[in-house]
Amino acid sequence: MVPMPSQLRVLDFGQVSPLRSQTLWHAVAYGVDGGAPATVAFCRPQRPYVCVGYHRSLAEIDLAWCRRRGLPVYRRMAGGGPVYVDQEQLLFQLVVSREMLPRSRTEAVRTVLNWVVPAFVAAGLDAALDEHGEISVGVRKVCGHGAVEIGEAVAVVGNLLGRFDHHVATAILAIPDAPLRSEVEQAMRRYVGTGETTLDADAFKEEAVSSFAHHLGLEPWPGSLTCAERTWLGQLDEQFESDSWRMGTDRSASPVLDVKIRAGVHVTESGPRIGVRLGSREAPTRPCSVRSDRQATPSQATPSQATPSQATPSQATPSQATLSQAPPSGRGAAVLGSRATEVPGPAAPTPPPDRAHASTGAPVAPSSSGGVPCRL
Amino acid sequence: MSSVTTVRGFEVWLDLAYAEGSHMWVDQPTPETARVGLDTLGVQTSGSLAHVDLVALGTELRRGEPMGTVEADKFVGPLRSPLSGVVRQRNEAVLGDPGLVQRAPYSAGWLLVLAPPAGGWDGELDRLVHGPDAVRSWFDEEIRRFRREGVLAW
Repeated sequence: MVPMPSQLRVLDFGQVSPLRSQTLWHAVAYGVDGGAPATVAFCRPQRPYVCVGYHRSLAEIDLAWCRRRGLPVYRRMAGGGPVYVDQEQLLFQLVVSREMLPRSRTEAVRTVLNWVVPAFVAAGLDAALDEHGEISVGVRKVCGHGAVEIGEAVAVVGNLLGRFDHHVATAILAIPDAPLRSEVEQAMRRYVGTGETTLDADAFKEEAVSSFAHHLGLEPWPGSLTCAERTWLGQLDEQFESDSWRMGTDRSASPVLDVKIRAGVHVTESGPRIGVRLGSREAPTRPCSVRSDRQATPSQATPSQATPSQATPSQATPSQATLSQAPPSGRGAAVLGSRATEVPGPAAPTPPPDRAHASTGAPVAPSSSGGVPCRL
Repeated sequence: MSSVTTVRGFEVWLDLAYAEGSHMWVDQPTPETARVGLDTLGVQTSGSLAHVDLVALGTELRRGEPMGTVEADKFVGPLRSPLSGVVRQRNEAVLGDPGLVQRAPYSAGWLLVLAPPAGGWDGELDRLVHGPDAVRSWFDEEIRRFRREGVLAW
């Protein structure tokens, strides 16, 4: 059945590969740009990986460490810095025509985050959108987010952060020395994730669908990828695996001396002093440690040796998914009962023209004709 | 009359031409050159710029195509070219200091210099808002519209 414009397509991809946890929603964005309906999508990666924002440098990531740990690195088209993603995180995306959101980009993101706050509450978190534009429980950020405009489509993406591996999330960063890394990990433990192990993922999805549908004035509808989106998916799979895309635009590879933990919280190094800065770039930095040696040795710069974790072993070890799998119910559940089919391979029947921008790699509007579900 | 004025708190250079949808300005110091940048309303609705990328020298652009990207508050969006043309200069300064676009959008924060396409710019220039009265009136209406839509605070 072809969705009517008054419908919100719901795609629940379940567990997917790290690559597909990114390329699926990008394909949907190209589809919505080409005429596919407004869509909310969910997925969870089968394995951990690292994802870097569109404008950010790979030099911010300790690629050698990631390689040793078998963590693939992908570049998304949405903004933000390098992040660690694993199967503990439920990823969600709202993809709509840009006229459905406020013209101000800041306001557009804030609006979508406001809509999704009830889903975090439904999952079991006392969450709210804070003054810095983050969904938080107290000072703890519980949702990473980003956004991108692709043609006429806007995708606002985020995740449900419960238990979070702060140690690995710190280790993936190319932080030049052990003291700074230690402070970053401590700050992450204080400001990111809640450690909750009983979050109700199904309640989250159900409430997110219901809230997005309500605010957009649309009726949720269980959908699938269109033919055009499947074609985009094949092309995006190849693009995201390519070194040229992964590399991104040329950026200076300066040492990471200022690590954003969450909006309004930075750990920064200036000379021998390391401090935590709360608020804007102009806010005072509260010293938290002083390096004894200004020059880091190679061994100091090795993440695996660097961080004397203060966490319990269970906090510092990657663990299995612990989100509740209770059966869905209610309005959103009706459309979440059927799982969207993920295309098994990167086959593209007719490769679309290269969309990558000549120099920036910036996505340009495809000429796809979306909106028609693909017949398999 | 000065070419620089303020409309409802937003600086506007009346001697520039403007693309209505994208809020890009166009300055044409010679028939063979067009310098383009983002106007104050475009800056305001983009948010606090963290990154700016621009296409490479020699890139051929069509009107409305992405000529680069900006990122603010983790939102990546395109900069849409107000004219067709070939990129002759990029403002390298804004790549290293995106804040320059916000601090001086009409001057030091310019983005690209374009050369005209084979067919010239005549038709495209006519589609830009130009002339002091038309610019002032359009800018005033845009601000009022943005405020009605909640994009700008009253």
